[in-house]
Amino acid sequence: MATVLHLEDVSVGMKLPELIVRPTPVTLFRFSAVTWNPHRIHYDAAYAATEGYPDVLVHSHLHGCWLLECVRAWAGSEVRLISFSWQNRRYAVPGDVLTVSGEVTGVDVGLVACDLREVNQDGETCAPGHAVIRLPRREGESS
Amino acid sequence: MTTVEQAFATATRALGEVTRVDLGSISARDLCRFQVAVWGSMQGTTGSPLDGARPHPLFLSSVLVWGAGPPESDLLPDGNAPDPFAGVSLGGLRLMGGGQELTMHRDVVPDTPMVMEVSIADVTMRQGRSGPLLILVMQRRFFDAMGPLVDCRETFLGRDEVA
Repeated sequence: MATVLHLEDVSVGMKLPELIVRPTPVTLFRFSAVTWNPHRIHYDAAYAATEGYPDVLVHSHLHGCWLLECVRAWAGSEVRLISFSWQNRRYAVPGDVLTVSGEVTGVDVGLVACDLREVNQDGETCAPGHAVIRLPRREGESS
Repeated sequence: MTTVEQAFATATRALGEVTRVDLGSISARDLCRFQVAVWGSMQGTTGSPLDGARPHPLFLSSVLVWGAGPPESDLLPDGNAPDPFAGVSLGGLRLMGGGQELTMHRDVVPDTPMVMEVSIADVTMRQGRSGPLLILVMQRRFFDAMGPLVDCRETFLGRDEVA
């Protein structure tokens, strides 16, 4: 996670390396605990069934985190995030295999824009997103 | 009046009112635990969240209950706190997070007191396939003594509980 990406390394259309995520009940429990989120739909499968779901649900925020991890894994966790957004389109449950991908859609004055997407094993989009990051220039280069 | 309609009326009255909440501080350990939880299901994660990485940008906007939170006996049947949005009661609704729009200003600094300003930015109600649907947009702004940290607009979808 210590890789440092520079602005000169990036161009529009570049694909971000895909991330594979296999959520487990333990993942969801720990995320509930660390965010002090008591909603039973994330750790109580019997409760989730009363709302019509096949299992406990991945948190909305965790979908966002995984989208952002795709950017951080690519650009380095020291990257400066300027803005980030995502939408939850479809739920995910333990046992799903989620693939997070991204593509550079803009490069301008030190800022890089990326479209992001998290899809499940059936190709259904769970969460699209968009991030804008600031990347450093290599020493000695200027715009 | 349905629960969605009641919540819509309550939220409409509270539209734009800003509530300021002292959050206290978070520790470096809290931030590391968050990163570990996020990495839990990802393939290929290596290293330690202590290895100089910036604090995770989504920590502040992911925490649902600050402070100690209510006693278990005060939680709603679905487990949620009765007042997660500082003054707007949404008890009886099936709530789903719809996503966030974030503007990042500065990194969180561990052990530094923070404040959150919460308001309802927008509320609408429409008829969905399974009944009335509440669409609530919450604005949360996080600060420390040096100024703004994160601005977050988060959408929540609320439906009546299953009969």
